[in-house]
Amino acid sequence: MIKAEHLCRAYGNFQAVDDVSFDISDGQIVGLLGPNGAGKTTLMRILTGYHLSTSGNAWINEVNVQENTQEAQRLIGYLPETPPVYPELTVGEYLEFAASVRQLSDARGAIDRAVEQTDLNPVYYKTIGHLSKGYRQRVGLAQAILHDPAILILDEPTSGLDPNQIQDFRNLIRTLGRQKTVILSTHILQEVEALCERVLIMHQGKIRADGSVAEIAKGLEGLNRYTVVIKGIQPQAAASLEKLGIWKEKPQVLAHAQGIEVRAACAPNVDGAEAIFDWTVANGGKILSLLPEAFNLESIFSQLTREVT
Amino acid sequence: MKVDIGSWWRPIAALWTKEMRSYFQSPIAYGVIVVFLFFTALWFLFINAFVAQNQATLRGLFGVFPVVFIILIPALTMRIWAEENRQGSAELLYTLPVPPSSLVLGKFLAVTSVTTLMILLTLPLALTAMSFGEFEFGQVLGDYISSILLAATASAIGMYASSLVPHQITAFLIGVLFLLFLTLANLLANTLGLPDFLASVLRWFSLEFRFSQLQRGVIDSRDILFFVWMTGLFLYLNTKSLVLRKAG
Repeated sequence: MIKAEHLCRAYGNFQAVDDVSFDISDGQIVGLLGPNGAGKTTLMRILTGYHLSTSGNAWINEVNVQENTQEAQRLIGYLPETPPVYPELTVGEYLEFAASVRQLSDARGAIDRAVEQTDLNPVYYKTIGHLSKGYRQRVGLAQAILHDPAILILDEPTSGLDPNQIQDFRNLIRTLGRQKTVILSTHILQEVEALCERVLIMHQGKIRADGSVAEIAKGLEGLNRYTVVIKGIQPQAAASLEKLGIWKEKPQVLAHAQGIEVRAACAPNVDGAEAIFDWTVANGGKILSLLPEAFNLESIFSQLTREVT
Repeated sequence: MKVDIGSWWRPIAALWTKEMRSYFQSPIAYGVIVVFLFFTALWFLFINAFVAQNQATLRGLFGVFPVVFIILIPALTMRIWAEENRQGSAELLYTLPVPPSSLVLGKFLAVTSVTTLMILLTLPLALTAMSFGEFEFGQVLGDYISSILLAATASAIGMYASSLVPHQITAFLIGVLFLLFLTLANLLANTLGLPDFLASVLRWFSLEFRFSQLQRGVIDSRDILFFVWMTGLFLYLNTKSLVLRKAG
């Protein structure tokens, strides 16, 4: 279980994390999604005890991170954005170091298991500094799962991996997610759709949305968007379209090779497609294409994070 | 899941092992040791002209240590925290379930092991010199103990400097500055014509002054305690700066 209550973290005047609260129950895989600089890394650093919060509290399985940092840290496996490796050590030496600092009772067994799960056998005796980015990332992950933690915190775990490695990595996280609570940050939307049952969308230090992709989509207004291409109508003639009274925001009318292209958002309770069709017929045009914008994470994401303050 | 608190020394030992591997799997430790041995031997035999002096003393060898340490010890300690931050391993180190004091102690014991080894490697030179005359064994033992203490204190100071800034070179310069001041404080006291009170404070803090006291063969527990106290102080400050880093 991971719980945050009114977490804030400021760097000087900059509010990196701004009043963040959530509650993640056991066995969930949660995606922390947001553009660069949204505060994802800072939030994860607070959860792992790497940074202190300016105010607010966080708990890992009922252990307060600020008050009993080390006890909480025993429960967490953490993979930061940059793999936290020592380039001069071999993979084996590095994992032995992590295992003995954590005082694991069966260090050998733990290392073997982690190496097996992350497929590091071929490079076990190699110096980490000589490994590719993908392997380093896996070394970092092996370190994070070494002590079989109940909670995994992964900061952009697939950045820098090639498509095959990303596939392997996702499978591994899915397997681990059966017994563990996983929170992973990313700005890759497909990753969240592929892995996470729940999404927290962060922007400018705040949580803007929390729930499954479907739930978030339902809660959003103005998602009733269309892109329509109409033949035989000039942009100047589209003024009456704007007066239709079904729009959530003023439709954009663009010149198109065969007529016009309209991008518009309707109020959620009107059938925009029908109204647009009727208007086109009444004005002697023909609809070449009418695309309702799908309820996908991408559109939710851009809508939630586009505004700039 | 059963939580095993374990023993306090195991993480320290693990960190010591890791640090020793890091020192000797990269050129830093070798480089510093070679420069140290080369320079001190050169100084002792040629500049100090041990043979020509015709005196059964190793003061020419040990007397130069405080000055050499001003440069060499920060070169050894500059990477201790700064490098962790640069390569991102700090995020592992500070999220392991280990108190900051253990991290400081593990790293300090490792760097002190390297400096102790470095000082003991002058033994062949010292023993060769000793074969030329009647040396007092107790004096030489005192020389070695005080050198090892001085190096430990200088290491604690250099480590603290490394915890203050994110870059190695800055850490090196700050370390050199600290050591330069603390080593030569007695020189300032003697030459600046300061009031007696200030001069005695400066002398009290001077690493070189304390070191030369011990070198005279007068093993005064106050001088030994001074080195222990200074080392402790800077290790404590180092722990504090690790804790402050989390908030800042």
